[in-house]
Amino acid sequence: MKDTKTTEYLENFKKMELSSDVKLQMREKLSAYADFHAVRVGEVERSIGEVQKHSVFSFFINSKLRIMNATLLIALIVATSGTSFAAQGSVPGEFLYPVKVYVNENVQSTFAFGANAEAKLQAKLLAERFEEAQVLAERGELEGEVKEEVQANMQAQYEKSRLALASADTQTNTEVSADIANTVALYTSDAQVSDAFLASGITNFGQSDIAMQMSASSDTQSDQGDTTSLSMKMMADVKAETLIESAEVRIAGLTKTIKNAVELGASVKAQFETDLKVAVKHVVDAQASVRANAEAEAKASAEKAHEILGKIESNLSLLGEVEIDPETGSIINIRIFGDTETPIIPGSTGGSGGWLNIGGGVTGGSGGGDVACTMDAKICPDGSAVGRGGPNCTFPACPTSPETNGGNCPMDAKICPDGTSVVRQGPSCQFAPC
Amino acid sequence: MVEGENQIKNSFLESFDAYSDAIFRFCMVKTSSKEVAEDITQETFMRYWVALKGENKMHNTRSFLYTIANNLVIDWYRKKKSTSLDVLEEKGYEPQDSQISPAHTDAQWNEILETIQDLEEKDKEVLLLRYVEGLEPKDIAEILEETTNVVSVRIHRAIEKVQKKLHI
Repeated sequence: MKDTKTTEYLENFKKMELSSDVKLQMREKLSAYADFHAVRVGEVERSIGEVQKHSVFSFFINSKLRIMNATLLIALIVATSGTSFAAQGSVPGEFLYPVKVYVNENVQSTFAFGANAEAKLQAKLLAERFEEAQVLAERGELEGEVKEEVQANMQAQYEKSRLALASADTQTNTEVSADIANTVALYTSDAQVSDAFLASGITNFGQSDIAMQMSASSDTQSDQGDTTSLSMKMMADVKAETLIESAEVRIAGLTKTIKNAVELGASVKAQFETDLKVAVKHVVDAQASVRANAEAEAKASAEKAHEILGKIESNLSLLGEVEIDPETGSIINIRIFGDTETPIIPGSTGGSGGWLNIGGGVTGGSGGGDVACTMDAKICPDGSAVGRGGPNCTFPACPTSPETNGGNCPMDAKICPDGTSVVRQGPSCQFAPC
Repeated sequence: MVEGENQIKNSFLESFDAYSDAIFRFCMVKTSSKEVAEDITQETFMRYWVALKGENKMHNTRSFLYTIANNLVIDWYRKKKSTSLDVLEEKGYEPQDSQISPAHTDAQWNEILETIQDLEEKDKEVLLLRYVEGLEPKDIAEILEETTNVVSVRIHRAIEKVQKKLHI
C-alpha cells in the first residue's frame, strides 16, 4: 500500500515533459545542427573530432557574450560548429584568428586530396588573407602590429600558393594562376589595402611571378576587367561559404534578439521566427550544395537566406534600437521603442555603448550615426551583384541588363563534372553549357 | 549527405525522440527552471552529436546522455555562482521572461516538485532515475559516478523521506 502510493506519486513526474512545440523546435534545431556539423564518415573523422573538442564550449563559456540564458544555446547551434565558424570570420589581431589559421585551415588542407586540390585551396586561402586585410582596412585597423602580421601572413600564404602550384598539373596551374591574379587585382584596387602592400615593400606581390604564369595561359580574363567594375566583380566573387558563414552569424544574432524581445507581440514574434526558420533552411540547403560541390546552387541558397535576414533586420530596426555585436556585425539585441512611431536617433542616449540605429548587420565601430552595412552581396538573375546601401542597408534593385555592369559578366567560373571550367557569357551572363 | 552520415543522423534523431523528455525531467528536477532545463536538454543532444561524430562506437546512449546532462548541470551551477551580478542585471531587463510559458504548466510542475524540494539534490536525482525512468542502480551509479552500493542506500533513504513527507 505504502509503496503503491509512493509509486503513484512518483508517476506524476512523468507529466513533466517538454511541451510538444518546444520539442518540435528543438528537434528541428538539432537536425540543422547535425547538418551543419556533418563530416564525411571515414578517414577524416578523427581530425574533425579533434577540432570539435577544442572548439565546442571553452570559448563560449568564457566569452563576453554573457550566456546561460535560454537564448544562448540557439546561438550556439550556429556558433559551435565550432569555434570553427566564429573563427572563420576572424581577422588578425582577434582572439579566434589563430584557430582559423592553425586549426580550420589545416583541417581543410587534410580534406584537399591531391596536388591540384591543394593548389586550389591555397589560392583560396590567399584570397582570404586579402579579404582579411580589406576587413581590417574598412575598420581602420590596418596599422601597426596588425598590419605587420597581415603582411607576414600574406607573404607566407603567397609562398604556400606558389609551392602548391608548382606541383599541380598544367590545366589547374592555369586556372589557379588566373584566380590568384584576379584576387590580387580585385583587392589591390582598394586603396587602403593596396597601400598596405606597397608600404610593406611587397611591391611585386602577385605581379611578376603570377604574370609569368599568366602569360602561359591563353585565355586570361583579367584584362577584360576595367577598374570601375572591379568592385562589382568582387561582390560576385564572394564564395558561397563566406555567404553561409555570415548568414549563420546573422541568424544566431537574430534568433537571440527575437527571443529576448519580450515586448514584441506574439504574432510579430512568430512571424519573425517563421522567417528565421526559412532562412535557416536556406542555409542548410546551401551547406548541402557546398558538400555536393554545387557552388552556384549554394550561393543561390545562401543568398536567399541573406535576403530574408535583411528583411528581418530592417523590420527589426524599425521596431526599436538594435544592438550590434562589434565583432561579428550581427544584431544581438533590441530595445523596442515605446509609443514613439519614429525611430530615435541614438548616440544621444549616452553611455549605452555599441547601440546604433541601423537596419542591417554592421561592421561596427563607425559611430557618429554613420551607417555601415555588411559586405555581403545579392546576386541578381543576370549574374551581377549588388551590395547593401541606404539607411536600412537594403539591397538596391538589380540592374536590368549587363550593360549596367560595364558590359562584362562576373568573372567567376563553373567547374564541370569532367574537370573543365566554363565562364559566364551572353546578354544574360549565364554559364556556358559544360 | 552520404548514406553513412544519414544513418548516424537518423539514429541521433531517434535518440532525441526517445530520451529528450527523460533528459528534460532530469534537468528540471536538478535546476527547477523550465528554461534552463530546456537549454541543457538541447545542449546535451548537441554534445551527444559531437561525440557521435568523434567516436566510432557509443556504448549506452541513455546513460551517456544522462552523464552529459549531469555534467552540464554541474557547469550551470558553477556558472550561476560566478555570474550572479550579471544575472541580476540581465533579469532587470527582462522581468517577464518566465511569463512566456503557460502559467498553468509551471504551477502544475511546481506542485510535483514541491514535495521533493527539501530533499537533497542527490536524493532527488536517484528517485527520478530509479522510479520515474526505471534505471537500475548499476546504471545510476555509472551516470553519477558512484558505487552501486552507495546508490542503493541513497534510493532507500530517499524513498523513506518522500513517504514521510507525504504522510504515507
